Amino acid sequence: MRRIESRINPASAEFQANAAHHRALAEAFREKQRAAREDRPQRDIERLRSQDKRLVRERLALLLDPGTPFLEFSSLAANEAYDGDVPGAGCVTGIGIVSGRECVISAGDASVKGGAWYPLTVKKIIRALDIALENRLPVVHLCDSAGGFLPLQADLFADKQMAGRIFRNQCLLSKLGVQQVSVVLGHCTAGGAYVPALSDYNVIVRGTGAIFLAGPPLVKAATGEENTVDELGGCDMHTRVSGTADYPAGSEEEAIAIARDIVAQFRQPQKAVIGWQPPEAPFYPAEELYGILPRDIKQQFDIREVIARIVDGSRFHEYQPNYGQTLVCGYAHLWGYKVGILGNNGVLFNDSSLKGAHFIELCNQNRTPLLFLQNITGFMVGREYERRGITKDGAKMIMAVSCSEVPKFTVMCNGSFGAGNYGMSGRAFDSRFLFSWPQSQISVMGAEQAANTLADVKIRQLAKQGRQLGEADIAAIRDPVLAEFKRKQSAYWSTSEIWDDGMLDPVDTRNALGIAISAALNAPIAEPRYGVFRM
Amino acid sequence: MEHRFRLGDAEHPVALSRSPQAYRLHLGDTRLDIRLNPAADGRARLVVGDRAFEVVIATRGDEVFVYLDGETYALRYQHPLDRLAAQSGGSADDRISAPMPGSIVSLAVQVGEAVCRGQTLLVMESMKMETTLLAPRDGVVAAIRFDKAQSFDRDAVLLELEPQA
Repeated sequence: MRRIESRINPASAEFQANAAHHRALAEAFREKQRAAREDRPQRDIERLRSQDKRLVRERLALLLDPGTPFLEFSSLAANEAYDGDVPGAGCVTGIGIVSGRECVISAGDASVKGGAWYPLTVKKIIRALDIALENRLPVVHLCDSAGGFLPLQADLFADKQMAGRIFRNQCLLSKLGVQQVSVVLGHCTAGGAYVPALSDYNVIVRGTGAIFLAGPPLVKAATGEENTVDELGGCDMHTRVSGTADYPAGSEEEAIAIARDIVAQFRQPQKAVIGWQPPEAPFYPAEELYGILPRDIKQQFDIREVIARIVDGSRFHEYQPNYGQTLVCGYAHLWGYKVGILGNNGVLFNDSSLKGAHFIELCNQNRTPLLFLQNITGFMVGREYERRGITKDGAKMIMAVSCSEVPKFTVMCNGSFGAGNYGMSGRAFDSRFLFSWPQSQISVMGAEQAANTLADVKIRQLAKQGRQLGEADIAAIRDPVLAEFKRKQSAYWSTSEIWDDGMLDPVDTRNALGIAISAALNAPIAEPRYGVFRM
Repeated sequence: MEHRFRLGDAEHPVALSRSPQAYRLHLGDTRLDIRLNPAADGRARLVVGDRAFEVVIATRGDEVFVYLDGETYALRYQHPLDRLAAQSGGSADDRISAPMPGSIVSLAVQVGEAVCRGQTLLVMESMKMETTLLAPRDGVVAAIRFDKAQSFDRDAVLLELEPQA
């Protein structure tokens, strides 16, 4: 494999200006992430301390193997929702190493509204368990939740992808032989009680841990029966009498140590075998990514420059270098793992779509995971291209993406507009992991196009009634649409809504993908089978 | 596959195969058993045929530095694909054609101007995206086919280069 020869000039004014802009974006992102992780009202921290409870990050430090990486998912989930009052959606999820095993961690954060489940908390937990299901990763639940946030119960309880899905996913994990352990560090009430109950193993802390379908106040209201928390669902009752909990623990430290020992008993995974060779750092430094990305999302850049700063030795075997050049396809190694990369170098034409579909089939044939680097305005439009069947060629690419059996990974590098989002394995297409860079944007079309389209429709409607709109009237239609579009196409909105698995500082992308690929190989890779390609 | 290393100005074609112990070096028709045994202090013992040397080896990208007998030798590895591609380079890259339909936003060069590889030639716009076209190799601008704001179809030749006189 040859090394990509970079054509950028890090000394140029353009590069320096880009680098300053993107460094500032990365710093702003890191500050938001720090605040979401650490900033809590003092009274909430004091309340937990007085209950002899540790903060969620302290629990993670006890649980995870020292010196190993933790790939946190959606650290900015819910940051644009609920007036910013529920940082991280009130829970921490991610992939970490416990007793030498790759595990999904799902931990309630009781320093946020007592760990109450908001709609986005439920979505984040379900996504973590979906990741466990798709990649066959064992799960460690650190349970400490006040239960569902009642004022928003209609948005978190009944539908297919709502709270019940958490328990359904737990059952399916167990059925697949993917093991789970719960550590009960606070109250698990009502639905939350099923998290430890549906885990293969669970541990409960004496004094602070409790499991019950209804807590003492609700029981008193329902039947008049009076109970203490311990009598109703405490550690000794459940481990001696009901058998709902397995292991008693005298402290959080002991409970987490028991959980680590349980994980150490789990079956060793048999990982899927793909191409691998000893890893090598990229030849070009990752920090140069800041200067490669343009400041204006409308400016194109060569995606090979990004590939060169992510893959081993910056080496890339480019497939069909002269055909369909707006889609760059080829093989590389990432942390040693062989991957097939599809990256955008412009709008998707008929030939680029066909090349993409063909390359996805090649990767499925030789069991090579796929990495999509999105910077896409969409498929080409216009009479000429419709006559050539741009829609059916795009459909072929979408068919190949959807039916692909090798693990897929997607990074939103810059733009992700229109059907290009689909062809390049957007969220709906089950990429095992999807990450976003801070400047990236996602929407059905660009904000300005959408605002102009809506203004045009209105102008024509009124023209039929014989009325004409002045500049100010048009601006009054256009500007609110523009503002709303801009807010909702930003990466911060995407990541708040959990349309991705988290935002990344571009320089961390290689490491995040390395962990993601390693985790994905816990699931077997099936033989590819496709639907009907429209020829 | 034969590999090429540059040592100073000279190019050395070599190939490696496996020997029962380690590797065998092919130098033309000569074959030599070789072994490299690294020691804990960063030095290594290099055995070539019947002779043994103490060496220190450092690599930086495609460059390999070998310290041997009081001298440092800088070797440069050239990937066969790069070497073979360089041999066939030339005319195909002379015509800069439009990767997509669109129009010219700005021209950065004039006819007759000498350009270096990687230099900006022009900026075009298509589907709301601006794309910068760079010189694929060193040369002189022979012709510019479109003016600013003029639109063109995909694959239209926008600019032509010719070798420097």
